[in-house]
This record gives sequence, structure tokens and C-alpha cells, in this order.
Amino acid sequence: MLRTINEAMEYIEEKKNERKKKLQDLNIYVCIGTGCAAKGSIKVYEALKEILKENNIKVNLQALEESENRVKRTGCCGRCSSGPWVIVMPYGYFYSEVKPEDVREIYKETILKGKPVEKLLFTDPATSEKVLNLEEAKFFQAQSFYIMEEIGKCECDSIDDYMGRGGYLSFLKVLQEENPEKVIQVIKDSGLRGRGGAGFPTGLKWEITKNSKGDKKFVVCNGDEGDPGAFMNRTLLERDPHAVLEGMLIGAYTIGAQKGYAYIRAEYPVAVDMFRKAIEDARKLGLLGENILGTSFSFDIEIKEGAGAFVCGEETALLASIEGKRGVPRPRPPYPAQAGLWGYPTLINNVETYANIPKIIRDGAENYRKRGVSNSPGTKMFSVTGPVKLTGIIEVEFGTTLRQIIYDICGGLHEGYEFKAVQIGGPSGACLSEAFLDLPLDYDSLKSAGAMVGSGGIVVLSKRTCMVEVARFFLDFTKRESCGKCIPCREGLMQAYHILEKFTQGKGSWEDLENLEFLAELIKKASACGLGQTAPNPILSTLKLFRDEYIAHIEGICPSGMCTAFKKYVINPQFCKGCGLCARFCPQGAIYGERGKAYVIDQEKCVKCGACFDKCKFKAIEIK
Amino acid sequence: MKIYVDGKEVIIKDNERNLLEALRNVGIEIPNLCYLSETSVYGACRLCLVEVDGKNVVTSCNLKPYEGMFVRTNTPEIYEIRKGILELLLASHNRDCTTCERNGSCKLQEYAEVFGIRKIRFANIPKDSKVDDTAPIVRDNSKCILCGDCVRVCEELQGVAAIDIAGRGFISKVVPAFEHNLADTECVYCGQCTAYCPTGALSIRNDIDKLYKALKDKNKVIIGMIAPAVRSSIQEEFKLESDIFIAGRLNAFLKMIGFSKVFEVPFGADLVAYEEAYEFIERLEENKRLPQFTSCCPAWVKYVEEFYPDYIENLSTVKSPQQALGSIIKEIYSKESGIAKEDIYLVSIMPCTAKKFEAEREEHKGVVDLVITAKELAQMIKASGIDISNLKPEVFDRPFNLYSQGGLNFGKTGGVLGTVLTVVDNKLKIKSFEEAEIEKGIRLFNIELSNGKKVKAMAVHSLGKAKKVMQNLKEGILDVDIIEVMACSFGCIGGGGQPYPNDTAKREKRAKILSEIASTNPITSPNEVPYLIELYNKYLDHPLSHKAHEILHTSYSPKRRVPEEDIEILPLPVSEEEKVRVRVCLGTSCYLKGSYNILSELIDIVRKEEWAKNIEVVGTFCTENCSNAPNILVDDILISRADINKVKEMLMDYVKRKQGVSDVS
Repeated sequence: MLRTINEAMEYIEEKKNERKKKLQDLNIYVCIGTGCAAKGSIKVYEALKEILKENNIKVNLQALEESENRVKRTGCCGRCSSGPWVIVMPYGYFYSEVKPEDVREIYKETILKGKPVEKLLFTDPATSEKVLNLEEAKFFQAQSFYIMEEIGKCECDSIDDYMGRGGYLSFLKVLQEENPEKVIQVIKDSGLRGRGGAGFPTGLKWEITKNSKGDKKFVVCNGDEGDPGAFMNRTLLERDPHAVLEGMLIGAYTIGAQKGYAYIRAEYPVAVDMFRKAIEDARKLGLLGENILGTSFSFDIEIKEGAGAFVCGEETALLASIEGKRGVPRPRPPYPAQAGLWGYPTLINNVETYANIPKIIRDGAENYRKRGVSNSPGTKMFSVTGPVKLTGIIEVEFGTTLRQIIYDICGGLHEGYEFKAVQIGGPSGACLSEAFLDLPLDYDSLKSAGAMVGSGGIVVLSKRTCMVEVARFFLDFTKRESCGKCIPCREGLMQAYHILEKFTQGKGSWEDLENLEFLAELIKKASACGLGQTAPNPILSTLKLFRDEYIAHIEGICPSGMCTAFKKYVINPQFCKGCGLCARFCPQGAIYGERGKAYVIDQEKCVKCGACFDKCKFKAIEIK
Repeated sequence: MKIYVDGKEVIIKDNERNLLEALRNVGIEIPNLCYLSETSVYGACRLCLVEVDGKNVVTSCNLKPYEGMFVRTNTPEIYEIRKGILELLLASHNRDCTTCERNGSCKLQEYAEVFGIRKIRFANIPKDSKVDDTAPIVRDNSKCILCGDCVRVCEELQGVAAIDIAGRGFISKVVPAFEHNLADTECVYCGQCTAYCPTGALSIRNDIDKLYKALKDKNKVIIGMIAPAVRSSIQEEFKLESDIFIAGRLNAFLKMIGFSKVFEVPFGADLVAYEEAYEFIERLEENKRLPQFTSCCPAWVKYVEEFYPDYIENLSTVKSPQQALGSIIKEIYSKESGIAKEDIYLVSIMPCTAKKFEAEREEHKGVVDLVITAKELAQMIKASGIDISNLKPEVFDRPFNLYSQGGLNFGKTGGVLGTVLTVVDNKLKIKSFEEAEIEKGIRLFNIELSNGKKVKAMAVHSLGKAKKVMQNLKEGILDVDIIEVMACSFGCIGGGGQPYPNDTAKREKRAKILSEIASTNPITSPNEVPYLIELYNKYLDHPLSHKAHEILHTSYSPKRRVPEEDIEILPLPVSEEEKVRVRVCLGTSCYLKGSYNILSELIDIVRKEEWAKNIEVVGTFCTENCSNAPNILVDDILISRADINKVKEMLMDYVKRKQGVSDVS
């Protein structure tokens, strides 16, 4: 338990030295982020611990006392597609796709001899060469790790490690200076904008909340990341929970809050556990609780697990959910900064926004602004999915282009795939075509292109993907996740989905196209909250950039070949031997013919299941 | 404050709640489907969009007006949006307008008409079409537009919260908890939801057919009785709003369609006040069961039974005017008139939905045979083709035709209390009387009797306010002797069975009409009602007599909120005496706080450990102690904030003690 600010300073200094030593010593970091964990990293972690425990012997470095503790859990390293990751310090060897059975080799070669295990080293897709250290990989060099600094070498579940990285010094500085106005000024000067999607200036939000009158005030962290394919917040909470916690602490001190809530969705069990542990550890050290470090500042945080409603990412719905009510947005104004939780002024920021705060205090506004572009300073985490060689989490400066992300960081598309579009900003984001590949990614450029930073999900789409189907897919999500309160969103999204479904089934008409456009505009203009207002973006952007695909669907063609309704199975009489196998397996009885002669498919009856295609031994069935 | 609306200067009051309300108060109604002046702002229908200062299109329901603002209420863009929204609603709406209870009084229908919607561009995707007609209030989700009015009225105005919106997106719907039928919930049938529902999604069970069926039966003598509040509102259906002789005309109409007799419920009201006043005096003297609650409002009675069962004995045991008069008719009038009790078919005409429920209550069965609402009566008159305004008012039938002013005032808030106090005054003489409004809907009366005793009385209308009063009572910060509660705001004149619209403006108007009618009555106190005195002299002896109790009093019982039965999880083939029953609450709160884990571990213990072999594990729902979840019941002992160690420890101890006892015996 730390009793004073000075005591805390000393403690942190001690931890810094310890950590410095640790990185020069033998320590093995295993990524236990959800991506790697799903691919078996926990088993690798256990196996490494086991092998060090069994062989508690002298290695070339020194006697390994408590050797099993040399295996550390680290948070997401970004390239989830090539996990599980293991990094061995002090060499910095960086192994990808490690299996438990590889552990023995790591032990024999690296731990005992300090040599790399060649076959486990990461192959850089850009150069097709093995990479010895993380820093040498192209994907690493093309990024700008700021929020994710010390990637691969920070222990996600250790407050000592966070302090070893200088953690909580920013908070101590704020606490010592006793000048909330200055904090707000620094954040304002930094130009930090909300990472939740809309990009509201954070400093201004803090100022409004600070100036709002209330007997109580609250600080809320929005960790209800509900976009399919987006996992930045989860990653951040898992790999560096204390950074978020410190951001909340600084926020609470600045605006004068006594209580904080971290709203994290229950589908993120690891993130919840990590953050819970972070709170407990901070409490034990006296960084949370009554009269923190002997000052008059008291603050504590409670975790509220969200029950999995996308709309609860909307701030007023989130607050309703914390209050125990149905998670439905309420009319704004008043804004949460004026009247939030139980009517008290409430500061609500995204996970990533909070994680930026300690860094800004540490580096100062001017240094912070060196990253990014003038209207969007700093860095942003994105999650990249789709048919690119490397998928996972990236962190880039604002102003980086889509081309850099897709080709330099993610290694380009897989063989046989050709770039068509990116869908950016989550389900309510927009699709951008090839013409936008050199668009710098920042709040304003994206907005002017009809897209948004949103949560930061990037889905790369190839020419094999049908854009109408993409719109249908996202509408299927938003229509289900609409809270159902306002009519344009509840009814409109359903109707828009219905029309899109007609298109993908080959039943779309010109009138449908007109109605779809009308609906998309109506929903955008008239919906009550951000969910509804942005939900038609997939429609509007595809209508704008890929209108020809809609028209093609009306005319009976799906250009990408993705929509099954447009497929036509026909039997080539040249190859058909008349064995009748296809007819026997056809669930619809749509194939008829005479034995020994070529069979025919009745297109009226055919449901395009493809059973005949799979069964035919003579490749006589063709898809048109 | 001066603002500009569609180019015209408009002066609105400062500090209005929002632009929509401000304009409504100066006679400009912006289209809307979810705005109620009486509840919180919801902002869901998006019809009230307006253009402000030539740029933003925003909803006017949550827009604070400011000096000099330019508002355009009707631009082509806004028109298109409104029409689009209406089309969207109609696309999935059950459009069986001709057979809808609200045909002709539906707001959606009206908008569809005025916006000229003749074709709907979007597909008809039907919604849940299950109709719940288990209660006097009928729910039909296929007609619901999810404006949430009913939900807010039920929770905010009535403090009941029997319904809420469940589900997400397109499939969200208004339902009672767990989608139970309304009859199985805490709904008190006040019908305020139906009064505010803009469509036919919540309506009142229509019983007109039952009445005609009875009229067809030649063996039945049809007797009607009309409640006070009906004569203040039914005029609205015929544009006869200043007509104070409507009750006589209704009487004439009922006779024309075959009623033998029509009586005045205000007589019953006088009788109730008389009896209740003596009950109050008795309780005052004994200083028991105070404050006395009035019991003439069946929704209030059910509210107490549902939510404040501890206070059931505070309710006056005197029946409501409907049931009291009904009982007198069936028990005494039948004998006097020589009509066999079984042949009488008694129809009560009420402003109220809960009266239908009251007549069907187990305690009251066989007294009132049918309750029809003011709205249903208006329908019958319209269907008959008879011009009610041309009917000559007819005098009601003896002996239940004369009554006091107070009997009529039962129709509005304060009426019951006022009449009771009139009787008290007669007996004990009131020296001084002071009235104070605590807040809207709650009035306090400080009374000094001539014997020096001070009495505090309270009149409350709307259950939301009653909830507040009850809370204060529970906390011991309220000290009163008698409380009148009317479930609906303004009392029965705002009842669920009244004509549409049934908003505050209409209710205020009805209150005035009722007062005007009452003021023409020369009888000022129940003591002066001739037949009432005769009734006591001839049959009832005196107030609170044995006979009076038999005919005029009733009893109440608490209602169990969660009807589910326990779920057998580990049933044991052991005799009941040996069993230790452990009930684990699996309600939402307890479940979320880990009751399911406790259950699993308990099962484990019972299976493995010898001492626990007689423990029967049962799952139960809601111990109504959610704030202290998880809750476990060991036989009748409640363990709150339970964890497995606590439960195990208590159980071991309990089992030991129980065995000890049985060993000794």
C-alpha cells in the first residue's frame, strides 16, 4: 500500500529498474490475446512453464531460480493470423505459430544455447524471408506503436510491469500539480478526438463535464465494442488494462468524479478478468479507493458487464444499461456531460481514448501532435480482416493510407484474390472502392468520402465478394441490433433488408432500387441515435460506388458470382454418361433423363444446392 | 417569448418544456405519435421533426425553444419523411381497420388519411399477431406501433409497470414480464394504457354482444345502473358537451332497447359513504387500522393487494358503489319488487375498465352480471340510429333515483372523501376545515372536530401519486387518518372506459360538467336521501350492523406476483417430515449473482455427503428480495446474499437441529 505520492514515485522508479533488468535477462513472453489463445497459446504457455520447471538447471545465463516464473503472459501482438506468438528475451527472437510440441526445441536451442529455432521464425510476407526480431518485420516498421508500445514485451496482468514502463507517473503528475484546468488544456492542445467513432474533441468533452454542476459525477469507460470484426478495445483491455485505468483516474480527478464504471461486454471474458485484476491490483497499491495516496481525492471503479446489445455502445443506451434499465438511447440533449448516470454529469469515453490520456500527459501536447495529421493527431488502432495475408490488430498514425495498410502492413491479398473494396468503420461504416486506396485515414477525410473511422474495423473485400451481399450482410446485423425504439430504424432497416434480400435472390426491380434509396436517406435523416443514422451507410456507399452491381442484379447477373440465386447448374451432354447419380441425389427431383443418355436439370425446380455438382464423377455439371 | 413559425410571429410562454408542447399550447399541433404532455419525453416516432433556423431538421419534442428561433413545421423534406415513416408503420401494421375497436378514433388511421397514403411502397411483413384477451384489457401486438405511451403511462403515471418493451429491433414488442397474459400479472386494469394508446393495440374488451344476448332472453329482467362519471363524458361522442341532462336521455335510450329499470349508481355511492363514514369513526375511536383507505376504486384495491399487501386491512371493507348497489338490488330490491333474484340481469354502465374485473372477482360473483363502459354505450346508441339529443330525459326509476350531491361527486377526485366527511360532520360536527395541495394529485385536509379531535384526510388521484403516498406511509413520515385514492388522474371521469380522447384537457372539462350537474341537486348529504334512511330502518338496522356487513362489506386478499410453481430438481422419496426443502431462487437477479452455481454445488453435496441425504433441492422464482440476491430458502428460513459456504454451514446446522428434534420426539 502506497501512502504518499513520493512513495509511489519511488516505487515506480524501483519497478522501472527491475523491468530494465528483466528485459536483459532470460524471459519468455507468450501472447495470450484472444486470437492466440484460440489458437492454443495457453497450452504453449503451460508447456513452457512445465519444461522450465522440470529442468531447473543452470543455463548459459545463470541459475534460473523460480524458473517457471520466467514465462510471462503478454497481450495481443497484433498479427493474430500468425499466432500463437512467443518472444524470447533478451534475444528478441520472435516465433509465430508455435505449437506445444515446439516447446522442447525452443528450450533446447534458445533457452539453453541462445540460438533461434529457425523453423518457428516469422516469415515476412513482404520479403518471404525469415525475420529474427519483431522490429525487422515490414509490418512492424510500417506501423506506429504508441498505444501498443513495447509490443510483445509487456506483461498484461502485472501492475508492476506497467509501472516498470513508467505507468501511473502521469496520474501522479496530475495529482501532484493539482491543476485540472491544465490537464484539460493539455488534452485540448493535443487535439485528441474521441476514438469511439464520432471523433468529438475529448478536451472539450472533459471541460463541459468539469463545468457541469452536480453533487456527484461519474466517469464511464465505453468498452461495449459490438461491431462484428472489430476487436481493438478488447485487445487494449487485455494487453494494457492499466493504461485505460490510469486514463480513467486522470479523468476522474480532472472532472471531480468519485465513481467510475467500466462497461465491458460480457462476451469479452478475458478483458473483463484482466480489467478486474487491474482494478484489484491498483486498489491494493492504494491507487484506487478513499483518499488516494494521502490526497483528498477518492475514486473507485466498478465493472459492468454488458449483456451483448450492439446499441449499448451508444452512450445514452449504455448509461441506461448501467442504471439497470433497458438499453435504449434517450433523446439528447441533455448530453451525458450535463446529465448522465442517474442525472449526474458523466464523462464517457471510449477505451482507446482513455489509453491515450496518460501518454499525452507524459509526452506533452506538442510531442503528441507529432504523430498523425493536424485535424486528427495521434495514432489509431484498426482491426483488419478479409483475404489479406496478415490479419489482426494494427496501430497506425492518422493519415496513413489504405494502400499502406493493406499492402505494407497486411502483406497484400492472398494469391488468387484481387482487391475490390474495403469496408471501414464497422457495420455502419461504408464501402470504399479502389479509387480511395490513397485516401489518408483521418476523421475528416473519411467523412468527406462518406465513410467514418467508426470503431476502426477494416474489412478487405476482393472481387469475389458481391457488394449487394455485403450491404445485405451488414443490414442483417443492424436490423437485428436496432433497439426497436424509433420507427425509421426499426421498421426502415427491416424493409431495407428485405429489399436487399430480394436483390441477392434475383428478385430486385428498378422500383426496389428507388425505394431502397429513399429508405436509406430516410433512416439516415430521421433516426434517433447514431446507430440508425449510420446504419444505411453500407447501402448508401455501395449505391454510390457500386451502383452497377445493383443494376446487374436487376438484370439477372451477380458480377462476383457470389449470390447463389444467380447460379445456374447445367449438365454438359458431352460429358454426361447418363449414370443417373445426380438425379438420385437431387433433393428436389429436379434432374431427369434416361439411363445412358444425357440428363437435364429443370431450372424451375433447381434450388442451387450443388449436390449434383459434388456427386458427378465426370465433371459433366457446370455452373453458369 | 417570440418565435417565428412558418414565417408567422408566434408568442409562446417562457420556460415551456419543449417546442412541441409550446406550440400545442398556442394551438399548433405538430404531428406526433409518441408525445404525451403527461409523461416523460420519448422521442421515438420522429414525426415531430421540424426545421430550425433553416438548417437542422430535429425533433421538436426535445427541443428547448429560444427567443427568435425560426421554425418550419412543414417543408417538403419533412413532409416526405413523415409520409415515409407512416408508410413504414403501415407496412407491418395489422390493417384490419374495419374490425378494430379503434376504428374511427385511431390516430394512425387519421394520419394515414390526412397524409393521403393510398399505396404503401414497402412489403407487408407481419408482426406477432397473438391476441391476449384474458383480461378486460385486450392486447393485440399486431396493431402496436411501439410508441411506448402505454409503458410510460403505466410506469410513470400509474406506478404499476405491468408492461414494458421486450426484444430488439423489428421484433420488439410491448408485453407483460415473461410474456405472461395480462390476467396473470400485477396489472390493476385501470385502463389508462387504453386511454392513451393511439391505435387499437390496447383496447377494452367489448361486451355489447353479451348485453344483446341477455336482452333477447325473455325470462330475464334487465336492470341497468349508471355511474356518475358517465354523464360528464358521453356527450363528447355526440358533440353535446354542455348537455347536463344526458343521464336522463341515456335512461330513455336504455328503456327503448328493453331495459326494465334503470337506477342511479350515485345512490349506491351515498350508501357507501354513509357506511364508510361510520367505519371511519369506529376506527378513529379504536385507533386501529388507520389510515383508512377508501375502497370504491377497484384498480386501487387491486393495487394495494398487489403491491402493499401489508396494508390490506387499512382498506375500508365497504364494497364499491357498483357492488353495494348491486347487492341491494339483488338482495333487497328483488324481494320488494317481487322479481326473482335469478331473473334479474344487472348491467352496470361505468367509465371504468377495472369495474369489469371487479364484477368478475370471486368475492362479487353473481351480483353485477355485466359491465359496459361509457364508450360501449355510445357505440350502442350510434348503432341504433337513435338521435340521443332528441330524446326527452326520463326520470330514473324508484327507489334508487334520489341521491346527494356527494353521491354524484364520487365521479371525480375528492368526491368520496368529501361525502364521507359530510356524514362525519353530521354525526360529530366539523369545527374547522383547511385544504392544502401538497403537490399535483395530492391534497391534504386538516380537520378539527367539535370534540377537539384533529383529523387529517388526504385525497389522491392517479396511482403514481398513490405510490408516493404509500412510500411515505411505509417510511413513517406521513401521518393521516383517511386517504381517498382514485387510480386514474382526476378520478373516474378520467377512467379507462371513457371516450377518446381522454387527456388532461378533456378530464378538466368533465370535472366542470359533473360539478355543474351536482350543483343542481338540492340534496346535500347522504343523511337526507329518503330511501337510504328507509333502507336502514327497514332492513339494515344501523351502519356496521350485522346485516349491513352481510350485504355491504367484503374482504380482500394479497395477490401472488409470480405464479410459477417450483421446479423439482432433486425430488426425494422421503416422507415430508424428514425432508429439508432447499429452494434456490433462479429469478433473474439471483441467477445473475450466482444462484445457479450454488444450485449445482448443492446438488453435488446432496449426492455425495451423507448428512445431506434428506435435502430436497427445488428451484423457485423470485423471492422478491432481489436487492439481496442470491436468495436461498431452507424450509422457511431465508438466506440472503448467499454463497455456498454460508448455505452449507446453515444447512448442516439446520439438519442437525431438525434431526435432534425428531430424535427426541
